[in-house]
Amino acid sequence: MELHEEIGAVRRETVLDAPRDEVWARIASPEGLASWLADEVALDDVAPGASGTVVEDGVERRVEIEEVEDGRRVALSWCADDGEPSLVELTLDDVEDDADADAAAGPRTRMVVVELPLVTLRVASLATLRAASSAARGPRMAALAA
Amino acid sequence: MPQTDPGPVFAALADPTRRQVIELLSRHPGMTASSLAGELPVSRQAIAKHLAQLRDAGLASAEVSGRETRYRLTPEPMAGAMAWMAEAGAQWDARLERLRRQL
Repeated sequence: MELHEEIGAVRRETVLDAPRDEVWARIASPEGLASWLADEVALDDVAPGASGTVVEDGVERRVEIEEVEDGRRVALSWCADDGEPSLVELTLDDVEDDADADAAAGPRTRMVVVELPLVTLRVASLATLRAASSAARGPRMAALAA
Repeated sequence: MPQTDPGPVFAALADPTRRQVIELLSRHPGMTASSLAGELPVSRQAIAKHLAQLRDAGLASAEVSGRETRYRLTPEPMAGAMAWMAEAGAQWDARLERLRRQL
């Protein structure tokens, strides 16, 4: 049995060849999210309290936007009908001292995705979650875990 | 899709002391609440509570032998939690690839 600190948290980190405002436009509006997050995105807004649905591979999830930090982070919770409710946090950062950057291509953006079941958040201590999601963890996760 | 609801397993695994109990039981099957308490900085009563939660999640079983109760891991329910993580991870890989192609 494999057991590690990150149990329950899915984390992905990727560097995108675009400046942060361009990536932000893809996560901070329903139209932007619709271009990549799921097959169908029905959201009235990307602002705290906004809600709607997304459909991906025939599975519909109810979505609620939990937190938005302008230019940097969107946190949402979602759940399919018979699925596990989870919290998703998308965090953007400029890639500093970018040795690999192609000078002609311009600045790049680091995106960190963390998804974890709400039940994990309610039980886990703050320290555990910090270890699991490191810098990607926003105030919303902290509030839920407190 | 996972066969069983992974929620109780995630709840059981979210606590650091319970994870330590699981690690000890995986290395030393058949430990008692007292022997576990001897290895960890928590009381025997606290250990008993954690063991009850692990049993409720289907992750441990108890066996009475003489005057002692010995505990063993029953990791089968872990499969549902692992399947959830694998599926969620694969979905994010696909979503991030779609995003990458848009930029």
